[in-house]
Amino acid sequence: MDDNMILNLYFQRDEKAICETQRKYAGYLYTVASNILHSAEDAEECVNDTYFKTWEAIPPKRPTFFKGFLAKITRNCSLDKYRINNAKKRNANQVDLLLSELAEVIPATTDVHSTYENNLVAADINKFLLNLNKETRFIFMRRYWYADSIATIASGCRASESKIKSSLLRTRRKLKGFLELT
Amino acid sequence: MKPEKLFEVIGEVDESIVAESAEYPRKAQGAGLFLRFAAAACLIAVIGVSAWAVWQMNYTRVETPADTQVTQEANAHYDTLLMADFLMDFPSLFSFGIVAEDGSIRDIRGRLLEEVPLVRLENDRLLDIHGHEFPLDAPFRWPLTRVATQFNLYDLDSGFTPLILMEVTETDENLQSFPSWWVLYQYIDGAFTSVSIDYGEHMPIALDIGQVVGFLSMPSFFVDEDGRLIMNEGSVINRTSRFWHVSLEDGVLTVLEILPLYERPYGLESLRLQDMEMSLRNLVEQRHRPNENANMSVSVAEHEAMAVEVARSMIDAFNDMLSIQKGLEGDGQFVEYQGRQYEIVNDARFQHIRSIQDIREFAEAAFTQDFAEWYFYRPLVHDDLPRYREIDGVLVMFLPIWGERFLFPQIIDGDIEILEGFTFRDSFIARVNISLEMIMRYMQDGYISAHHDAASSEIFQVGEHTMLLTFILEGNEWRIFRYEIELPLSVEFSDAVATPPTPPLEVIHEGALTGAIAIQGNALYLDFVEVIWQSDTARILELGLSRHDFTRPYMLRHDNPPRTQRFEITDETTFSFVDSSFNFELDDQNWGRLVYTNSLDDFILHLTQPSWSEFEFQPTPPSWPEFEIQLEVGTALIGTPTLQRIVYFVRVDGNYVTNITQEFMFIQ
Repeated sequence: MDDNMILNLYFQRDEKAICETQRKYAGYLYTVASNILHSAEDAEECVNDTYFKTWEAIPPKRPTFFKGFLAKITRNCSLDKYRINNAKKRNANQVDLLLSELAEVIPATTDVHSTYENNLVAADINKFLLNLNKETRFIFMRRYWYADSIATIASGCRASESKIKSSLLRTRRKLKGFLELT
Repeated sequence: MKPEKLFEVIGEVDESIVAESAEYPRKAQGAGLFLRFAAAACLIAVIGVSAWAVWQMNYTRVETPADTQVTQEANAHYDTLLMADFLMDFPSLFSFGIVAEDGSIRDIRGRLLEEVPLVRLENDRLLDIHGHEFPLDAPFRWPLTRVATQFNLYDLDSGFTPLILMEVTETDENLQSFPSWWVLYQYIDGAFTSVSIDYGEHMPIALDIGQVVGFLSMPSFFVDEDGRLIMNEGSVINRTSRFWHVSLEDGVLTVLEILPLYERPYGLESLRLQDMEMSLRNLVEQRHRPNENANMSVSVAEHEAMAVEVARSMIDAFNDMLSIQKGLEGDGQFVEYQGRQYEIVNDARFQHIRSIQDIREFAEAAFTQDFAEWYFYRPLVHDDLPRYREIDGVLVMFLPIWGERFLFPQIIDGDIEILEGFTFRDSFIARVNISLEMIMRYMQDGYISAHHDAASSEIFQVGEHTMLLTFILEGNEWRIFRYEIELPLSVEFSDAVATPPTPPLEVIHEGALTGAIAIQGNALYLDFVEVIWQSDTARILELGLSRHDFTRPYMLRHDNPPRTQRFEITDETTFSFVDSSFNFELDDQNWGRLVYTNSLDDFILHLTQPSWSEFEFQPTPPSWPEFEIQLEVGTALIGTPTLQRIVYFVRVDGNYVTNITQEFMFIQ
């Protein structure tokens, strides 16, 4: 069923909407969640939460990119879960590694009220990403949005891990420069 | 900000971006995606080992007079014939070569440009320089997406021209057409047949993967032995986007795509090329410079300098062109050459003049750091950078290389009138009215006939950008061309003073000498660069600069004339660098890939081994011969020369080097 038809079911408040969403996107959403959580149980919980939240959000929302819309909900759920788990020192995983990579992106600042920290919004990151070429953006997103491992990205892209690492390194540098100028 | 916060913010990006990266590409597409990436990377490998080497075969450096001066004011303006060639997909900073006696193609300094075979097309047969059938299994096959060096060589006597053979790969599937100034031949089923000889529009052509196509670079026109400018057989004068100087000496035709020349504070050079002495100083004196100091020198760094003789020849050539053009008015639509008449199919419009720019300037200005690579003498930047950038009052456009992921920087103009404001990092369209002075400084009358009936505007599409070209008629001649370019700019004009990097970096390198390095044996040659921070107000004042001259927190300034000093590397010398080429096995946590070593061999490995060498995408190009190179600053000389344009920090104790540190802080 195409996304438009699924969305119509949401608007009709037909619970088949959730079934169709699950049928079409369960695997995808599960991957998004488990990349962050590395726990089948937690991932499944997040995906189920996603269906619930989607049901509540649509209508009035009618997302243009339904897949991306769902993925964002799942990711946010997963991140919340990750924080809880991390606080409990459970599930130390790839996300820690990924966060350590992102740590180098953050410019050093002595001003705790630095503008970029207070005002950094997704729109800025959007602009940064849109300024990248498609391949670079793809790799960046797979790593820092989908939290794929380097090995997974390399395999998926048919490239060597060192090339993926290098691409990410360069993009992180660019992002750092970008953040320094905001 | 905590990394987690950044991770969270990244999660809020537009859903379309999320959806775009939802799935890994299927095998064929994925291969194309990354083979293209790999092809580009392989190109880096090629150019990484290609020489920024000065082969002073017939080259004599003439010391500049001591009384030359450069004023900052003049340096702020580009006193040249600068126009972007918007119609070309192959922007190049210059395209010039000489056929040497051994059949190789070299630049005016005698540097080997590229090992491509010289061939002649005769009755659809390709013959080599010995008159034998050219073997098409020669190892000169490049993927079609590889940028071909733009040779504009044609030996009038022999009719030889460089052949570039390319094999269509799956990465070329998006190519729709070829530039019109190439003669395209297809090699299919053992036959080498021409597709088209058309210097008009781009030629749409269907490509099959595995197909070999050849490019013979043919100039549109040339000067015959009588000094008349004529069209090449089969070509037409059309909306060519190049100006050519053509000289014929000893049976070798040299076609120069021109035109320089602008002042940069890098020193005055004079070059001797074979029997042709070039003097920039003389050239400057020839030019109309209404508001300039008579003693002003023209500063040129390492790009080729044009000489008075060349300029005068150009005047002649252009006058010939104009004669032809003028001859076309009325009912004259033919040009006669060797008893044959060639029909002029399209009018020539001398719209564009290529500029030759200082290579270092572009590398520096492009903020390219680790994105900059060098292809012979042309800096490339990865194409994920903004297309346009204002640098020191000049709009620089980064034009995509055909089929590649790289961009050539191209100066658009020195005088920019900004019609509308633009914002930083927003995709607003900024209208920029560029006033182009069609002076043709080397011409006597300064007029160019463009064969427009009236003021007319034409819209050209170059990539994603739309450009409106307006031609203005003055009397019977077009005097000034105006370009209006709608393009997104990513540069903010503001009075905000950028802050330099955090102090630790300056402190760390305090006392270190800065510059580009070249190593020969145990000798280190340092081409000095002065790093001027925007916060160095005293120095800025001393140099007559202002903070508006800074488009980044620092400025790299070369001495005029360039200053080089020799030091000695010892066993105690340490080296600190970033292993961006993945030549070393490092701790996984060493994300910065910092290497500290006292091994000169390791450092040389780092200098000479390019990135991406492990890609198997393309066969290795012909190996570069080891050069015996007379030193040009900034060049590594060991083995196969490579380029090191990053500013290094060198600590010395007397004449001995104690440490060389590479930081990705500056690129020159």
